[in-house]
Amino acid sequence: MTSKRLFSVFAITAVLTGAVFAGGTVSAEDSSTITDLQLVQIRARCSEVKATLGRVHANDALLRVNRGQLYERLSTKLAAPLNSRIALNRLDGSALLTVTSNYDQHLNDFRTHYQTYEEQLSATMRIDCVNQPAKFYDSLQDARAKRQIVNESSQRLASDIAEYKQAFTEFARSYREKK
Amino acid sequence: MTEEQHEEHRAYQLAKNRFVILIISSIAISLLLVCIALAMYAWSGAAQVDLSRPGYGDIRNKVDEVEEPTAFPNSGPIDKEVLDSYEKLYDKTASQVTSVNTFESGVLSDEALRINEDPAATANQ
Repeated sequence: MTSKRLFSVFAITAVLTGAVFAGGTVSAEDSSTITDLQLVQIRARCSEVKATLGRVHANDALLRVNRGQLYERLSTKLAAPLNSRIALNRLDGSALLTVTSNYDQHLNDFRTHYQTYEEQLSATMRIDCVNQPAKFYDSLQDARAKRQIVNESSQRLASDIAEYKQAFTEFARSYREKK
Repeated sequence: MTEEQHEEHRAYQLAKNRFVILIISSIAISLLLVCIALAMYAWSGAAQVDLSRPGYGDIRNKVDEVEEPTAFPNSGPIDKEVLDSYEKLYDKTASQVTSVNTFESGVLSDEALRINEDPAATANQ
């Protein structure tokens, strides 16, 4: 009974703490929201802003397709076959395997993050910025944050690519030394 | 109407209803399958890389053609020549991927969209 009561107190405290932090987050977001001048600018340039977002949206889709092809190619046509060949030759390619595994995980993250960003940008473009400029701006800020996450994913992949090259160079050096 | 005729009429009605039910259920199943397919299309991320959607006509022809064959053979011996050729292939693809910083956040900034607080800065752009 006492433990049940303790658990209830703990649960209520946890919920209240969560609510306080959530409230804090919301108010922090509110404080960085749009100014009156920006409201006026968004209303006045609504179609222009939406046209710009449309161009960004289309270019991003193209970039996603082109980059996606290259990312896939690096993994499935280069890294995986070499790892397999090293294993078949009974050589130690564990460092390469680790980097490839990280790369594949980060590639999955990139796909997910891009999807989330694209959905957010599309949702932003659907908002009527003449009648709901504040909502439009909030959505735009969300899209920016999600784009930043996609950018970070892309940079992580670039870092994995460099790391794989480093692991490969090390592998090749040790192989040549043994021969 | 005799009992026999009545039975015949009932059988005819049942057969007719079965046909209507068959058509309705076929349409319902088709609609359900279309809904499932569209949901999968949206959730899987296929929609994001589908440039055949409306609004992508201008950029569709800008998709880079993948040069084939680029796959590194996954079997065979490993020697100096193999490692050198792999390195060249890898460097070529890696340089294409890492040459440009992608998805940088500046393109969605207030300045880029010309909704920044300073009208003078906006006018100068």
